[in-house]
Parts: sequence; C-alpha cells; structure tokens
Amino acid sequence: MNREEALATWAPDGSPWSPWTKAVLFSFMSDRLSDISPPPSAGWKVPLLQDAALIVELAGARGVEVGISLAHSGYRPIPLYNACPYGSDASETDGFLSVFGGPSATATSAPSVIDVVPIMRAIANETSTLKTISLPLSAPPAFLLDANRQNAAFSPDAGWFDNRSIVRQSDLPTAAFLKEKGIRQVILIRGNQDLQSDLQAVLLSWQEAGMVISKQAPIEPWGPVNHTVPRLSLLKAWWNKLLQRFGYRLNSSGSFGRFVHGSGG
Amino acid sequence: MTLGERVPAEAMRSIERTLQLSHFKWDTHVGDSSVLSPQALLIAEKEWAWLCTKAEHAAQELFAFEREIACSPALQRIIGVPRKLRDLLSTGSGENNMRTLRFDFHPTNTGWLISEVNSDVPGGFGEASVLPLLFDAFRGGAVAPVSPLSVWGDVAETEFRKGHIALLHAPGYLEDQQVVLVLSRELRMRGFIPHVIQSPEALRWHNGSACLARNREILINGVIRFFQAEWLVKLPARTGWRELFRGGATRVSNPPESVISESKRLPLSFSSLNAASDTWRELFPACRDPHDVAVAEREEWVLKAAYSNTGDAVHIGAELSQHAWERLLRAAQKNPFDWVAQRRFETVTLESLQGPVRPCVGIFVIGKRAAGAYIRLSTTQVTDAYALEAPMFVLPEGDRA
Repeated sequence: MNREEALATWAPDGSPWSPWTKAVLFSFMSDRLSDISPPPSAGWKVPLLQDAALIVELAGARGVEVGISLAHSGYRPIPLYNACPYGSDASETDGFLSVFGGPSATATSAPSVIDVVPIMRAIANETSTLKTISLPLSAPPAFLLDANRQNAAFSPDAGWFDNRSIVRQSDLPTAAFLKEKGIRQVILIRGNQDLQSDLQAVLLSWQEAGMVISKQAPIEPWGPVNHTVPRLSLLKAWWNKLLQRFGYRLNSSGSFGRFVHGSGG
Repeated sequence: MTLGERVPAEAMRSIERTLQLSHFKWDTHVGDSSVLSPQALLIAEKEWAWLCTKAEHAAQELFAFEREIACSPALQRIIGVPRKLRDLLSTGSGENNMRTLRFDFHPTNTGWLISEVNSDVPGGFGEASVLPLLFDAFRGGAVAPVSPLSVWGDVAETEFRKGHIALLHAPGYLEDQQVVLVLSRELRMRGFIPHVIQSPEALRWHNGSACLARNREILINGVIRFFQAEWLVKLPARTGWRELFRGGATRVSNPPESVISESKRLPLSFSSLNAASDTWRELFPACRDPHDVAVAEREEWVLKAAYSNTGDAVHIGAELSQHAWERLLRAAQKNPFDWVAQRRFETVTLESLQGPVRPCVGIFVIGKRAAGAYIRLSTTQVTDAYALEAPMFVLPEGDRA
C-alpha cells in the first residue's frame, strides 16, 4: 500500500468530512506501507450518536488508537495533525527513519521539538485496520488532534526544528456546516488538562452558534458531561491582545498562527 | 481574459491529492470550501506580454526607489520602515540577481491596476509552478508560462553555486512552511544541501559568514529568508536577527532593502525621490496618508496596514459601516506611519462555476525578469485565504481570451 491509498482510506471520496483530513503526515510517509493490521487493542466501545461530532485531543499515537476504537463504534476518524515530522522535504521512503533508526535524527535534518513520527507511524499502521471497518459515508466524524501540539516538554536548543502547531477555526467545519449535516452536539474526548486557547476559540464559535458541547474522558465508561466553554476572561483577553501585539502574527494566508520564539525567548 | 473549461471532478480530486502528497500543498481546503479552482485562467498572448513588461518596468523603478530611500532615514520614517531596521538598510549589497518580487495585478474597467507588490517574502511559487503542470491535459492549445520555481532554481544555481543553504521561516505557520519545503526540494534537486530553520538563532555568524549553530562545521553559502522583516525585528537581539541584514560572504535573499518596497506607504515618498516612477504612477492606485482622508470619503478609500500579508489588514471603506470606518480612520490617524489609504478600485468579475470571481494575477519578477504568475480568484474584492487558486495559461495569437 502506498501513501495515496492510505490517504484515500482515511479520507474516502463521498464522506462529507474527508476534506478536513490534513494530509501533512501522509505526505511524509513511506510509499511502502504495511498491508498487515497491527493486533487489535482492547478497544473502547461507545454508543454511535448520529448527531454528534467528536473531538479527540490526546497526546501522540494515543489519539490514533482511540480514533480506531471509535471507528469500530461507527465514527469516521479524521486526522487533523498540522505538524510536519521533520524540517526537510524528504519522506520515509528516502530512508529517513530506517537508516538512522530514530525520529528526526538525520545528518541533514535537525531534531524536532514535537515528535509526531509516532503519530505518523500509527496512522500508517492502522490504515489496514481502518480498511477492514466498513464505515458508511454518512458516519459522523471524530476529529483527531495532538494534545501536545503546542507543548515542548523541554526548552529546545537553537537549531531544532520547531514544529509546534495550532488548530484554527478554518481547519474545522463551521457550525453551519455541522448543522447542515445533522450535527447538534460536540463531544470532547480528552484528559483533564486545561483547554488550549486555540481549541477553545473553535469550541466557543460552535457554542455561540448553538452547538451543545460536552466532555468525556477517554476509555472511561461512556457518560459525556455538559460543558460550557468559558469566554475569555478579561485578563486572558488582555493577555491575548498583548500576545497579538508582541507574539502572534497573521501569516501569509491571513490566518492567525502562533509566532513561537526560540529557546526560552 | 477568461476562464477555461471545467476540469472534471474526478480529475480535480487527483490533482488535489497530488498537490497534497507530492507538492507540500496542504491548505487546499479552508473553512468549509475547497480553494482549488476547477477552471484555469486564460490570458491572450499580447496581454500577457504587456503585463510581464509592466511588471519588469515596475521592478526596475522599485530598485531605484530602494537605493534612494536606503540612504534617507527621513524617507524611511515616512514610509513606516521599522525603526530597528533603519540603520541596517544602507549596508545592503544592492545586488538584485536573486531578488524575488510578486506584483498583484487586477483587471478593472479602466485597465489593469496593481494593488501591491509582495517584495519581502512573496509566496505562491508552488501553486504557480505546479498547477499548470497538473492541468496540462486540460489546457487545449494554450501554453503554460515559465515556472517561477524553475527560474528561481536557475538563479540560485548561478548565485550560490552549490553547498549548504539555510531556509528560514517563522515557526507555527504551516502555509509558510509549505513554501519553504517547495524551495528546499528545488534546491536539493539541484545538488544543494538545504537546511530548514525557524530562528536566526539557528545560525552563527563570524565576519559576515554563517554556519549552523548545531554543527559549526557546516558553512552556509546562502540564506533564503521567508521570514517577514517586520516580524524579525520583534525577536530578541540575542537571536542574532540583525546579522541577516548586515551583508557579507553569506548572502541573504531577499535582501534588507526589500522592507522598503514592502511598505504599502512607499508611494507617499515619490514626490521626494529623484527616481522615475512612471509605471507605478500609471498602475498603482493613488495613495494618501490617513490624515489626508476625510471621514466623509469612506466610499472612496481603502485603509491598509503599511505591512500586511494577503489581505489580513485591508479595510474597504465602502464595506464598513460609517461608525466602523470612523473608528478605524481615527486609529490609523493615531498611528499614521503604520497605515496608508489607497484609492478604492473595483476588479472586474469573470463568470465562474462558483459565481462571479475577481482575478488577481500575481506576476513574479525574479532577478529582473518576469517569471510566471500565481493566480487567485476571489468572490470578494479583497483577495484573502478563501480565494480560489488556479493555473494560468497563455492563449496564442489567433485564439480569443
């Protein structure tokens, strides 16, 4: 299987949610992907709610594993990973990982701040599994986000490839589109950590448009709890304004991105 | 000028997948809609030649403006050049061989106009170079213009020869990273060893020569700066950003003086310049300092940030309420060097499958020569992230556009 077939498996023609699949990690995959599914994990059975969109915000490959569990329950996992695995135009096919034996450790490529190679490998490995699950084109979506997308667990040295990323409103469907497809509620599947401001902005826009938002811990017994996404506090709004002045900038396509300073900056 | 036949949906899906998987183009879908146009823009050969000539003339004038303004701190202040850059501009080499610009042309009822020049970090190389290739089976007798990526690569080979090249872009911006990866691959295919970096801190400088901070044995022949100058000045001094603007053995493209012409306030300096500005006066809409615009003139003017990217700070008075306009104008008048008023114009519309669209023909000038175009088709007057992207083909004499 090649990466085009992998992308077509995760974003099949005809699913209304396919256009939101981010192809970033697929484009760095090898063109010689395994056709063998990994052994099934314990799985997590959840009820299929046709009027719900799920947002799975879990760290690393865990998000893909949970996404596959949700696919077994009838949801279509939509990878929304916005980070490049390494700061090079090469792919795994070019011998990147196989030769050097570890993520982002090549002679010409700097180490990456966020290691998204495990996510890329999980998507590649689980493609065969997803292929075996016969999801209808109308399956409701489960958008997969990396909970680590903005967080380096350490202060990277100068010269590291800084692939921290954010999710923006334009990366997801609008509330109007969700409603048009019969979605009335959004269930957030994540741990207990604070809500990141990028996702908060997306959820707020949906909430203000009348979507019901609830929270559910992963793998725990199903029982989503209603959640009111807080508006930005005055202090936070002031802080964001300051960040926009000194830290955040609009990018070349006119969307807000995070302007991350170098190590400790 | 017209739009071509619709490319079938199945072929469009294949084109989109190829862009995503092989050409680092991941923003083919923005919000709820695809931004890939299933129709190409067709321009008659004569009209295309005229546009290319005008872009080259505008570039020549621009280089002369920059030379004069680089030596004049007073003019730099007038056009809003960031203070921290002003003392660095006169150190530029003045070489333009590797210089890359993109002039955004718009058809209007009174002829073509240029809304702005993207002089510091012009994007769109991948789209302008790859889309014509992917639409090749549907172009009929029309001809693809030269690929800007290929021209850029040729110039890079001449200017940098071989060796290690650093490509710098701001972290956190996937769209900018797309551009840099496209350039990086072009360099790699030509025998260079590219290094994508996201902070000037990734380089160490000694007497104008750079090496990689993480491996000082790797000497850098050139730096491709896809990191806006006005953003770089916001970084702490210890990152060493000033080295990028000093000039030396390791050349940096685009050069520091590009920040002069990147300012949308540049036309406000014309009356103080010796350089000829005929092409700019002919093709750019009139500009005014915000103080010279009256509240009652809302419908006639557009307020633009002096340094803005792709429509992110472009406000058309006619599309604002009177209250919003007054507030914005007051804010601009408080910080006049950060803003400019540009006379409003209406781009003519073409009938597309998505309804009426307004074309923006972004013509690249690389070195001193016109080199292909990045085409966007917008449903609104402002060309922003939601505009459709399309290939352009030139209709030979005899075919009607």
